[in-house]
Amino acid sequence: MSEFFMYIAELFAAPFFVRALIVGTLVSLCSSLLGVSLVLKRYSMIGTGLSNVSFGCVTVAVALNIAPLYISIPVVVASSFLLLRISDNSKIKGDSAIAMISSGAISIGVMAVYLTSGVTNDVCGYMFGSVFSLTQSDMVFSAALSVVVIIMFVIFYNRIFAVTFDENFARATGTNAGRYNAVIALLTASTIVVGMKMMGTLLISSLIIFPALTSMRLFKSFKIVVVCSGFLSVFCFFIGMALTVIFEAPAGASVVIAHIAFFLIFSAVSALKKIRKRSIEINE
Amino acid sequence: MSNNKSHSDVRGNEVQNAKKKQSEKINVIVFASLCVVLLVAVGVVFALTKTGNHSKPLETGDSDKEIINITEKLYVSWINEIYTSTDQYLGRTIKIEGMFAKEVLPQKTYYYVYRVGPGCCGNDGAMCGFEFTSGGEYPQENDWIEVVGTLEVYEENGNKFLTLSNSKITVKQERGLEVVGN
Repeated sequence: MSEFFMYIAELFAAPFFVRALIVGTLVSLCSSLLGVSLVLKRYSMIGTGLSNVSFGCVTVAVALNIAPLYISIPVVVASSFLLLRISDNSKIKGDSAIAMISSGAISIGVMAVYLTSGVTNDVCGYMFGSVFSLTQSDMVFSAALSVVVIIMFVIFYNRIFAVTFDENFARATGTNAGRYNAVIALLTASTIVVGMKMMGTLLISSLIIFPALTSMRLFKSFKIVVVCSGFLSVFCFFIGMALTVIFEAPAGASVVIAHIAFFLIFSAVSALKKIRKRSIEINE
Repeated sequence: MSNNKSHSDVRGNEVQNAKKKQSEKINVIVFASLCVVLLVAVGVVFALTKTGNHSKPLETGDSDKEIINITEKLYVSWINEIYTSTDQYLGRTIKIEGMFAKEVLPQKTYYYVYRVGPGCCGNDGAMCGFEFTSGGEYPQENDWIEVVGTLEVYEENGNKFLTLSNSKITVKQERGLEVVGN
């Protein structure tokens, strides 16, 4: 047993492990909070679209030998507004806009890779995530941005709730739905940028979608779903980290597999409850 | 009559709400129990799979002379950390185990301690370790060695390289993992 605690102490003595835990917890929390609104508004694909855009940004940044965040932040934020604007335009529907922007971004990324150094370790790390390669400055930046996202979510919670459930009603009661949709898009873009190095651009959207969908299997109230999603997301991150350390598995994929496992468990519990409820109704 | 009906509707709604709340409570309990069970399961797996050959990454004897031990698990992450945050580790003593390799060039011979880490993308492994120098004799290629040396930086042809200088080399019979993941 003492060996076990020694091993835990060994892990926590590694500075990169502590940084990974801090950033991972904050990013998991941010993404799960926003995920509920995005899933309910049927904007789940925006997360995937923006993560593809961030892949394009990373490859271009690596090709130009610039820190990826300097290009990713403005481009991903601009893309999120663009996606909302195009989605509002009836000529191009939301799903077409996302498909157009994400495939466009990937093609730019692939071209950048082809024309320059090829798929380097940097690009690979950003594609599939490298949670232990976060530097001190990455951690400070990510923590600051995550705290801003969480504070903004708490401040605008009621408005986001109103816009999520019934946008037309929210507009009728004087809420500027467009502005709050923009807030949601801005927060989503920030979360994706913060999480792309940790989870990878190809996997970050799963952090947004899975916790909300899993929580909705069992809970119906918006507040409880938000709280459960946050808790679940952080918990799955810890399980993913444990799998990474025990089996030397890739961190991003381990976290997503933990989410899939929870989704299946929650779905099974929900199905069992429905069966039980039906049998009680039949007996009555 | 209509009053009775509305009263019964209200009661019906109250009963339904109470049932919903109870159901939510049950869900919260189920969720919390699942989390606890999984947490315990992960802890048990963690404890069972842990091998006994671990040493502290920071061996403290004299606080100013902490030895950074590159452990088998998180081997690549430790090396990545040292290469990306070099300033924090320059002058520190580093202990690392791995295979021995040398590169003989006309002007200089380079000596390395390394393991095979993940490359990009897939299983095309890459050399992961440190160059080192020692005043004594060097071992045979592919020997399993432990190197303890001081991290230093030197410049060659305009580029900066890291090396473990004044290293103490120990050839070990028991080999560790040659291919590492994280």
